[in-house]
Amino acid sequence: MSVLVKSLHFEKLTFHYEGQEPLLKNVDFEFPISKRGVQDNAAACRALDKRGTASSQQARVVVIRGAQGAGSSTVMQILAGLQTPTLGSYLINGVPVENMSFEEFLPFRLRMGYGFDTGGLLSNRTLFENLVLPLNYHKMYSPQEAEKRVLALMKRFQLINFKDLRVAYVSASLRKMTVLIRSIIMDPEILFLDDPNIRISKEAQQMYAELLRELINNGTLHTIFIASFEESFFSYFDYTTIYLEDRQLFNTERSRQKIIAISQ
Amino acid sequence: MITYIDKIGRLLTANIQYLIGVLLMVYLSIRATILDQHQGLRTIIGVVSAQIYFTGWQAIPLISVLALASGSITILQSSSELSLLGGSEMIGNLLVVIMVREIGPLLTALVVVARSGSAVATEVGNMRANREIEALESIGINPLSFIVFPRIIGGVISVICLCFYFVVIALIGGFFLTRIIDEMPLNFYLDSLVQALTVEDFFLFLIKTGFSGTIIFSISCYQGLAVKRSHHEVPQVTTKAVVDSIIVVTLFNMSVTVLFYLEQLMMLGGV
Repeated sequence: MSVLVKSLHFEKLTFHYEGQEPLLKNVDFEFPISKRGVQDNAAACRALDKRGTASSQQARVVVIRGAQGAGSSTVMQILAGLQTPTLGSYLINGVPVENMSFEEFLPFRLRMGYGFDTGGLLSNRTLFENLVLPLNYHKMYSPQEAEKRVLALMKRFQLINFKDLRVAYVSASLRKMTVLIRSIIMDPEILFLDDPNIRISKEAQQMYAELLRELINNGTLHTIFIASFEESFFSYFDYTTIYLEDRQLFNTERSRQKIIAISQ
Repeated sequence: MITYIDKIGRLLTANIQYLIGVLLMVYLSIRATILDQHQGLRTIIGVVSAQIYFTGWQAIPLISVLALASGSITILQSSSELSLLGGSEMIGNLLVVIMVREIGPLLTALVVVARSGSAVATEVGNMRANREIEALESIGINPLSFIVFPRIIGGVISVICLCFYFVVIALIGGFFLTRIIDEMPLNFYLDSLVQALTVEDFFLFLIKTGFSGTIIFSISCYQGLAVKRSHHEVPQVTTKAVVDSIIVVTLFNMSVTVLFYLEQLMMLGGV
């Protein structure tokens, strides 16, 4: 399977929620994503595995950091096509997303996974139904295969005993884990994780990081964007950091000290 | 004076924008359903049948009570008045006009607004606040084809069926209820009804119920989707959905009736 998303670019992008100050203002930014082909990526991972080195180094892990409320979650939502810029453009492979219809954006959407920070599960469905819905809807697997895949993942993350319960009847940590599993259920090539570490234990975070490494090794997942304030999750990977400060995005370490100071 | 003109202008613009917004949502949901290659008929039928169950089937007890009460009262009142005037054979015409053309479609629509329109607005509003709509988009499911379209279709089918049920119960059940006090022969009553029913009544019934269903569920979904991010907006949009639906449905029913009688008058050469 060839890589579909080759570049992500903000062009003079401004974004604000209705009646609020802009979170992003006139931003020009090229996001770093893995430029390798999937074949090369997988081969490189295998080579690294033989040497016993962490294979995740072959994927691009990009951490978006900013002070609390600065808008790093909003940047993720724009990147995943869940929010439309107020002004300016968000370009995927050089094509403005805001001009695309839902159907035109769908091929990109199906190659992206999104892990919500809070909410994001269908409340009138069980955990199992929430996970199996995208697979059955897009007919990516036969219904039996989809069920088998979902059950295997639920077993791995100890959700199997809660599979027939609706969202409101399980704890916040189980909901969060379900959201994280759903983000990778369709084998995305780009994954957006909004605060993946909140509400889940260290062990669960580690298990999820392991799963992501497997997907990278399989050659499907090639770029992971993480919006997080704490290092507990992204420290499992080698990562590049993008800083969000003064409504602008920076690749440099310009504001790192300041952000660390705020977080302390 | 200018202030008043300004206010009227603003009100008019806001209402036109609202109407365009609702119509655009309906158009986009139809378009999305046609263009969505992944959403099978099975998925749509699943949501449509759930909507019919909640809107139609579960409303049957309430509709039964209302139909029996309004049917028996109308039959009782009209039969006694018509007997006094010596026009008992006109009972069929009177009941068709009152029940089939006017009260049935309007009362059913109002019950559906109160029961299901409010429920749909709350459900969709909560989905918006819980980021379920966003979640659907993130997994490549268009909320317009997955949520809006089946609800409108299910709502329309429910309103038509409920109204038909209402009319049957009101006319037949109401008759049997009135027999306790009034001794009108069944054959005479049924003959009078059958002779009074025309093709126009059938079309008027379909237009009123079909469009009422579309109006109620379009407005309810539109208001639900208008929630931005907070749960506190949900009761506000629900109230707005109910009020707007009642106003639009009543105005629509009234307009159809006026146009229908205007046409009848024109045919008779009265206008």
